[in-house]
Amino acid sequence: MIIVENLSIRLGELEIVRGLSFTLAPGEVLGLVGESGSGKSMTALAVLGLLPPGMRASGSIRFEGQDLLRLSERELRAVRGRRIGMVFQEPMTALNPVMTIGAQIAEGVIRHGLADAAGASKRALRLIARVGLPDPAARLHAYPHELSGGQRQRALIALAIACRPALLVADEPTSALDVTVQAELLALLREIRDETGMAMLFITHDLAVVSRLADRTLVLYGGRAMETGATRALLAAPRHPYTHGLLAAIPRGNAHANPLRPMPGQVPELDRLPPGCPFFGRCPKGDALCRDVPPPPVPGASIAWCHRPEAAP
Amino acid sequence: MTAIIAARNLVRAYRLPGEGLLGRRRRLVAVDDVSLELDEGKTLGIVGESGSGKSTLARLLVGLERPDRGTIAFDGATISNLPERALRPYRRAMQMVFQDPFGSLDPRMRVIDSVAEPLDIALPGLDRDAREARVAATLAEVGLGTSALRRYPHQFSGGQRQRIAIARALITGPRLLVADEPVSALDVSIQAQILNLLVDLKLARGLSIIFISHNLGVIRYLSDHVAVMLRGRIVETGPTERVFGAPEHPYTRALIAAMPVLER
Repeated sequence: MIIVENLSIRLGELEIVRGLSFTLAPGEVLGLVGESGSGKSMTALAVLGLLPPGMRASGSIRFEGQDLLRLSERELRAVRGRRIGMVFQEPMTALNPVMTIGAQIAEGVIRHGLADAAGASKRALRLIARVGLPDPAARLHAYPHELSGGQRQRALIALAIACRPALLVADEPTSALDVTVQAELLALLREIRDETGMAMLFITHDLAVVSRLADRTLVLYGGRAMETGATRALLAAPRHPYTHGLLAAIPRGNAHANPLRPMPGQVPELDRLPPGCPFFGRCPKGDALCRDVPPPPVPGASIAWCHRPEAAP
Repeated sequence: MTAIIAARNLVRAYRLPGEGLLGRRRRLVAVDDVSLELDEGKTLGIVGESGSGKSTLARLLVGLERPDRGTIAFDGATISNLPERALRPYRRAMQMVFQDPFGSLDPRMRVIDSVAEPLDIALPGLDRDAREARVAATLAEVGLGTSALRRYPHQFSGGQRQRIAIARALITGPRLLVADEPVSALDVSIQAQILNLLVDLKLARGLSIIFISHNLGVIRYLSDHVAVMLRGRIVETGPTERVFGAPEHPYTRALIAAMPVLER
């Protein structure tokens, strides 16, 4: 349904994303996981055609028969919001503060020619109820500032799915929320996926969230793919030392009983990466080959871009 | 054994802007009748969601805010009613670390001066070499080399800045460190490093720590005892493994159930 091939994103000399490829089938959730500087958010923006000025994407993003990277802004606007929905971490910046929730949901539906004003308003009411906002008829006329953070994120989800998109791009949609609200919203997104069969590109730094939602996972580091595969398999037996390190960094139990062994060093700056694997320098297995030569994808239970991948257990 | 810090029936309320019914000012009770105790060398984790009052409680404990009611005792001495002057030596003994290290590091100050600032106040007569040696030793303790001394905060990553903020908090040799969401803004791999640094400091210095977080995983990792806050109150408290293994309050159970656990 979406086929991303050899996607690179540059800002001048700086390569923010290099040679990324992935696919999504209808109804499938792909978790894009990484720390700061991994390129995960820029990848999401490239799919939406919303890269910041100065950034250039190359490669191809094929979606419903067209290459999104070759569309004009006008053509992209017909896709964005209609066939591809989006949810971001901070709903306050994505919602219009001077428009009611109902009007914002209806606006997109009308703009994309899916219903007239009355039909759009009815659809807005149904969606507000669907995403679990209390007293939907009243929320239709509420402004964003009248809602709590969790409610705003629900409203944003209603807005994102209003035109029944085939793909939802969600960038850390629950990361700023309390854990109890976060758990509810993840369940909501799962339900909507099951009901509508939309695919989801879910961007997060949190492996626990990925384990609950994503069918497949792609781990990024320093703008490059480290490992990809079925989420269960990848988390049960990571083959890339970076995936392994990420899992080992999650606290389990108490320090006395289960001390963490964090990976050393800092998250790298993109202009200081070695020519080979970006994880070289922090990797316990790194050697001269890793430093100098970009690792090829090594197939197995998952695909790992690593010269020294773990063998299957 | 005397507790390093003991709070009794703390209350802190704020006036909300605007008027309520009958022209009465509306009040938000951020901390509502909270009592707690921490033994020296131990770590107390305070967990709660946004608006639970956990950050206000932290500020009350270190004396950045005064309680409306209730008392705080440090090492057996009541400090909540002391005038500012008399509170000063206690401020040295209780230090705080925040989520955003930029908040506590002046961007225009070199690391050496930022870290030394609390020391300059405590020991104004210290000579330059002794001052620099003390800063260098404290930076070494948090895993930073002497090359950091003459650089500025923006030249460091988020995790390194948090190390600098911790060094600044440690330089006066406090007995109690209150850390409010110190790893929440950090990448997962860096978060683990800072958590282990806090464990090491606790053991090496016999430091007592109050660790505040919304993240149950990190609370469980660091804490000997846990207090769960909801709407300004502590609804459950106990040894960490008991609270996580057999939570008694329905809210604690809900929090643990909602905790994002790795499924694999």
